[in-house]
Amino acid sequence: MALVTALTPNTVSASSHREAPFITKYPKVDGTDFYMFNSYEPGRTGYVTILANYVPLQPKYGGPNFFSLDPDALYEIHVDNTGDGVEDLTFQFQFSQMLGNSGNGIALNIGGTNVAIPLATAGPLANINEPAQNFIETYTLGLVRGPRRQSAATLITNMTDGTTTFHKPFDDAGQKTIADYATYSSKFISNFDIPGCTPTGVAAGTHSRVYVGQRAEGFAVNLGQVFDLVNLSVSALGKSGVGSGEADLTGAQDQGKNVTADQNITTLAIEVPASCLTASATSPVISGWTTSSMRQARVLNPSATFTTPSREGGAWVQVSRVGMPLVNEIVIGLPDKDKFNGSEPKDDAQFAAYVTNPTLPALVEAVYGATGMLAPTTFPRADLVAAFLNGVPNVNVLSSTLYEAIRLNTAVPATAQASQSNLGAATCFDAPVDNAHGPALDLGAAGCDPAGFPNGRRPGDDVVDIELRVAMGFLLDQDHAPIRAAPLVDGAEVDATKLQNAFPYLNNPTPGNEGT
Amino acid sequence: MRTFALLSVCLLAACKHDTAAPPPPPPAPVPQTPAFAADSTGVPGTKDLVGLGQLPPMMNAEASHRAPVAIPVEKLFDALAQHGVAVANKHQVLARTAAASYCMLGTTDGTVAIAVCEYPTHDAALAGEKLLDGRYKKLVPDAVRAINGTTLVTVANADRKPAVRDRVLETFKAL
Repeated sequence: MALVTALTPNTVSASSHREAPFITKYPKVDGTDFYMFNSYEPGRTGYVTILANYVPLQPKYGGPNFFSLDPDALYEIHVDNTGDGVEDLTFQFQFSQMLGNSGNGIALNIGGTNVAIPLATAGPLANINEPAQNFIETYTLGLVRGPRRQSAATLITNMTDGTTTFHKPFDDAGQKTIADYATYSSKFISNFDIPGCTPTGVAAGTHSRVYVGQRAEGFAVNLGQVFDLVNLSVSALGKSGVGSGEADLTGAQDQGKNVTADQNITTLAIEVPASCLTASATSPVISGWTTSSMRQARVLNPSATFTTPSREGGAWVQVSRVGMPLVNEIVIGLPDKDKFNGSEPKDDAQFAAYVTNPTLPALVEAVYGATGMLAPTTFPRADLVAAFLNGVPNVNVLSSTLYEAIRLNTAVPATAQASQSNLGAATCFDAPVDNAHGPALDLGAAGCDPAGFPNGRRPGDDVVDIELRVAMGFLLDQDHAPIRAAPLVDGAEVDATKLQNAFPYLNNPTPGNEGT
Repeated sequence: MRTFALLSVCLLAACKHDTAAPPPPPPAPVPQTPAFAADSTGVPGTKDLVGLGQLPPMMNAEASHRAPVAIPVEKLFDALAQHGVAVANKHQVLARTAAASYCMLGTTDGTVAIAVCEYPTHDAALAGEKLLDGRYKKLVPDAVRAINGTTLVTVANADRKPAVRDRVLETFKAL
């Protein structure tokens, strides 16, 4: 009992989204998921796609303001190709907002007086720069080589118009505002070339791409039941799951339990040649993560205007960090969640105990121990260190330095969408003979999909199921992980074939109003 | 407004020092809300997590409302010790999972699991056994269970140590 009391916060933290106390106050800069994978869209061999999701759990009815990004924040995607936990390339996104009608706001003549309308659109939208759009977001995309704050970003040119301005589509307010969101949003995918890089290994005439805009939430999870200690059933805590009935811990992967199915997210997506991300042709592994930062100080304007509701100043302070999924949600302890969000991978030794001596398995055992199940009994958990902090030997180890990030071997050929396993590369391991030798990588194993998580992360990888199994000892031997082979699931489906097969891969958002 | 302008100038000056900007003047004290107060927004990931917070009080309640049984878990663990089966890492686990009044889990001989649950009646113990056998078969496929009166014992992860399992069950049945 003392153990459980010690492990359980006074009140609970959040999900994969809203995962740390401080960040819940700033949803616009709350990073939720990070994906990095070899592009599997036909014709895009040699490219790596990176998706960074922000602004969690957007209900489809988000009007009248919907879900803009923070113009006073800095959103970044970092790539480390030397394995020291320090970024070698950083893609920086900075957003601007302006009113329609050349910044004056769209107005209506009401009885001889022009009165600004209260809505973000004044009519249907189908293209970039529609006159009816009353709230407009644009952004710049910069590239920093080396540590992120040691040099200024080189602004990247939008090949569509030759400027350094990129446009963000309006959120999917509904089908009367945007009749065909797929066509509309596709116009906001822009080509660019990476400064200082001549790509190799990609089709002639192709370019890097960027898109920032609303997408359907791709992270499928049974939030309530997972964080109520893994599919805690009705019999245990008297809670019902999503959909009919309760989730079955060892049942089908798809039990209709995805509570984020009708939620939206805002995605920052880039697709760049692998050869522009790697250190060299002989070092194909990269690691990546996303962060957001805010200015150190903010003074609220007591006479707020559209352009100056507040004044920001001081150094950039990192407030959100996402690499491997669910790390800050179910691995890092509540007292350190905000510290983790502000930390850099090179300093991850400070969080090592959360990985080597994890709390989640003990909590699962506290709930399910009456069945006779035991959590893994070996400590420190070297298996988790490899999975979360170092990579899989002979697949995506970049160096001996331990830090948390998504690691991707860009030389592993992408698996076509229809052939992907939603258990990712977890299907490529044989049961270890003993912990000293670790799990045996078996690329010939039935269903093995080496292009999936934890070799990168694709939208179709069911990272919740994979991480549940790994946490409960999938990579350990039977003597030290009695339920290592249990097919644990959260009952929320992830299926690559139900997602887009083209950049930016995540589906179009759920519209705010589906009536026509 | 003058204050805003003044502070804004200060901030702009601070912008020049990207890595060592001084913090702004401390704001006036404001009423503090608890750091981790329950979220009332209804956003998934907050209200849906109430169950986790309920776990400690649930287990406290189970520990303080144990049914009077002929074979409490401590009696079995003591008997096992007398028969050479040392049970380690004994700790309470959630009894509601097994529809029981109170449960403890321990290990012996490395990783052989011994889960002991108390029930108010024999029929309740039978129902608990049926529940565990049905719902958690894939979770613990090698679990072997036995009932003595109103107490249910589960021995698991013992396929490679059948002698240990047999001794536990024999000791239990002899009580």
